[in-house]
Amino acid sequence: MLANECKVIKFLVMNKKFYIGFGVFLLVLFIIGAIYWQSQKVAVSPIESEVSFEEQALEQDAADLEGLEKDQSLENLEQDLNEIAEEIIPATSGKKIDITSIENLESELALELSGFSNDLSDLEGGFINDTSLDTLDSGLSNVVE
Amino acid sequence: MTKTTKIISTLAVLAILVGLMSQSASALTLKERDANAKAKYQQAQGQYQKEVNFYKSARQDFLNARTKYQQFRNADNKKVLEDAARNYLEKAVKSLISRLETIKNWVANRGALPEAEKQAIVAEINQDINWLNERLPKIQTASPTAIKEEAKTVREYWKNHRAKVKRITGQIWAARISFVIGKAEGFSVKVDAKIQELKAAGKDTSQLETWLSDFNQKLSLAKEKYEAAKAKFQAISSLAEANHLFREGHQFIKEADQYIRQAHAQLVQIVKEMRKIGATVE
Repeated sequence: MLANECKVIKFLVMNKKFYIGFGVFLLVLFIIGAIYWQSQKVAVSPIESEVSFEEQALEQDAADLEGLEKDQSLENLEQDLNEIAEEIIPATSGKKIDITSIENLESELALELSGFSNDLSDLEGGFINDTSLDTLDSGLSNVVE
Repeated sequence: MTKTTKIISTLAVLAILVGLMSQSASALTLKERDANAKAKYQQAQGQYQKEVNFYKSARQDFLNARTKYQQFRNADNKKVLEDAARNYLEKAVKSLISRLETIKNWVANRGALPEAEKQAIVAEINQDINWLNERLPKIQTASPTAIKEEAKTVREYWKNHRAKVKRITGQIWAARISFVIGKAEGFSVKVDAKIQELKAAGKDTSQLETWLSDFNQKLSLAKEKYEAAKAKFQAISSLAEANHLFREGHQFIKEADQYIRQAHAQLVQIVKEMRKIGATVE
């Protein structure tokens, strides 16, 4: 057994140069491979990185947009703006427009029209359709005779 | 509190009380004025009805006396007939005066009539009343022949009177609607001022301006109808054409009334729109 081990060690020592050379060869191969890989990687990277960035940005934007779409913080904006228009702006304009006088005019005109109708009937009934003295003509004719 | 302060405070309180009382008194005066006008018209109507009843009774007496005289022609019956004729004529004239007084009363106490037209109508009625009043002493002392002459004169007047009452009634209608149109025109100026105020406050007044334009157009048409009616009524001079002209004038008055009612409907729209565009009501 020991003799066998000795034989192996002796073999390895004898082929030392071969192993070192083989090791150097592998190292050089590795370095060349690394350089080649690196060179290939550098050649593709700007596009890849750009695409990747764009993808990420797109995803981010989509997420943001989705977030904005689902955002309910300004849901009452329209109502709020209406309230501002109706309440705050007139108040800040410092001038209140009072239309009571116009409402009164409308009521007054309605009353005038009503009064006019009454007067029309009053005059028609009282004077135009008055037949109290209709016999006067014939009566006076009798006196003349 | 010093004596001067007390006096000043008392005077201030009294001044406030007097102010409040004078306002109430003023409001009462307006109501009383309206009530007085109605009461005076009712009184005049009552007096007219009383005179008409006297007239009807006198007429019956005259007809009875006439029948009796036709049956028995003697001096007594003739005297009774002459007295009855005189009385009948007197009552007829008094009834006519009373009728005119009723119309005059209606016009004179009506606030909603232009003053100038009111005065012109009252003056015309007074002229007739004076003429009729002048007849009364003549009738009371008239001879049999003079009674007949007076009867002819009054009969002629009665024909004119009927036409005149139609003309005057038409003129009152025209004056009355002219008053309403005048008021509505005044309203138009005020509405326009309010629209300008709203515009200055940044409100959209385009719709209001369109409606005000329609309002003015309706008033303009009402005015045209009023003028046409007035012309028809003024043309009434005889009984023969009185009914025809009066009917035409009446139709124009009704059309003018319709236009003013349409203008009023427009004013209602204007008020609604003013409320809608945010004008505040205080």
